[in-house]
Amino acid sequence: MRTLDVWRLNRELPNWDRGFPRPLVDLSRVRRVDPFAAAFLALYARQCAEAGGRMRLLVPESPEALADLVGSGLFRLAAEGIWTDRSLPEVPDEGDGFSVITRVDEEAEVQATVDRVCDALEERFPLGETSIRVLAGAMLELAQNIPQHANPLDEDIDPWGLLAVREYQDHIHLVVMDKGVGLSNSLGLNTRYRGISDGEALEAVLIRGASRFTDPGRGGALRRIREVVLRNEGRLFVRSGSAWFWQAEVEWEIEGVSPFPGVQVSIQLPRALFFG
Amino acid sequence: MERKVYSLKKFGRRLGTRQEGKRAHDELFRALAALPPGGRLVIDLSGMEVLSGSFADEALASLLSELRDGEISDRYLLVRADDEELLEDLSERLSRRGLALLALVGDGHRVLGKLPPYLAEALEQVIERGRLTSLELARLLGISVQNASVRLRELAKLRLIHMVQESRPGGGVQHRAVSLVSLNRHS
Repeated sequence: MRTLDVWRLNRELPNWDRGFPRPLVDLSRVRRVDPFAAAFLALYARQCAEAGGRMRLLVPESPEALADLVGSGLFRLAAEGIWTDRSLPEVPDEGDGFSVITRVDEEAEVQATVDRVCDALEERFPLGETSIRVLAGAMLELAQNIPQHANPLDEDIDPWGLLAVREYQDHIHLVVMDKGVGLSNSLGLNTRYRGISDGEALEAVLIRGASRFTDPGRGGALRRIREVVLRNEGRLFVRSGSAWFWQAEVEWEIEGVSPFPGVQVSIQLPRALFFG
Repeated sequence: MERKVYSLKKFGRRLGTRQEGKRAHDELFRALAALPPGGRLVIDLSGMEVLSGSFADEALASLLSELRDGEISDRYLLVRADDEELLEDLSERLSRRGLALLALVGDGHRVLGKLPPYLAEALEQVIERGRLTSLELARLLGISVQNASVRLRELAKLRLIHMVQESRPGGGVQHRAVSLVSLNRHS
C-alpha cells in the first residue's frame, strides 16, 4: 500500500476490523496518507481505546510520510488509542488548524475554528470570493452538524468531531467527520424516516435534503454542499454506517460496506477555483 | 417610512452557525420592534464573505416567518448585499419556508425565496410606480379589481409592500400599496 486514501481505507477497514479493538494497521510501505485517512485513523484509534484496546500501528518507513502523519496531529489526538512500532519524530505543530486535525465539539467553537482555518488558508495564497465562500460555507455547515446531529438524544457516546483542511498542488482537501449516531439514526428520529437504511439515509440527505426536523427551514445543508461541489468540479465522498456516496465525474452509492459509526465527509476542490 | 440599516458584519465576515444566527435573530427582532409603524429594517451584508444557510435560516428566514405570522405588525425587512452570490443560501432557505424577501443588490433589486409569478408581476408594478391602488393595478394588468386586491393583500402579508389607508376622492377610504424600494433611490 503506497497511498492511504478514501478508497484504500475502505478496502483495508474489514481487515483491520478482524483484529478490533487491537487491529494491526500496517502503514510501513505507505508514502502518503491523505487528510481523510489521517482523521479516520484518529477516530478508529479512539474507537479502539473506548473498547479497551489499542490500534497497533506500523508507522511509515518513509521519513516524509511519517513526519506528515505526525504533523497531522493524529498521535497527539489519539495517543491513548495507538501503539507504534517505532518512536515518533518531533514535528512542530503549526497550531493554526491548517494541515492539523482539529477537534470540533461545541457549536460555539465552530465559527472561530473555521475563521482560523480560513485565515491560515488566505495567508498561504490569495482566495477569490467564490472559493472562500464554497470552502468556509461547507466547513461551517458540516462542522456545526456534529454538535447538532451526531448525538441528538444526548446518549452516552462521544461523537469526537474532527476537521482538517489541507492544500495540494492541484486541490484543497476538506475533511469533517465524527463517530456519532450516523445519518440513518439521526434521520430516523423523524417518524417519516423511521427504519431507514444507511444507503437510503445518504440518498435522502444528499439528494433530497432530508432532515430529522419537521421545521421546513432545517436540513438541506449537505444537499447544498453536494450541489456546490458539483458546480465547482470538485469531488465529494460521504460515508455513514455501512454505506458511502461518491460524487465526482460519476455519482456512485454503495451499501453493505464495513460499518463505522458516525458520518465522515471528504471534499476535494480544484485549486484552480481558488485563483478564480 | 422610517428606515434603519443594520450591519450583520458585527457578527463576523463568515456567518455561521445556528447558534450565532439565533443571537442575530434576537437582536434583529428587537430592532424591528423598536421601529415605528411602517418602519423598514435594512439588513446590510456589505463586506461579508459567507452567509451560511443555517445562519440565514435562523437569523433572517425565521424572523421573516414571524413577521408573516403577525408577531410584529407593520414593520418591514429588506437585505442589501454587494454580491448576489452571497444571497444564494438565504434564498434557498426562504423558498423552503414559502417566504420571499426583497434584496437590494448594486443598483437593482431582486426577490429572494419563493414568489408565485402572479404576485411577482404585481410586486414589480408596485415597485415601478411607487404607489398603487388595487383599481390602478387592475387596469395595468388587465385583471379584475377583486383579483388585484387579493394580490396586494398577499404581498402585504408577505411583507413585500406597505399598505396605507387614505381618503377616497369621492368619499370613504381606500388602500394604497406603497413600495418598500424606490427605483432611483434604493434603501
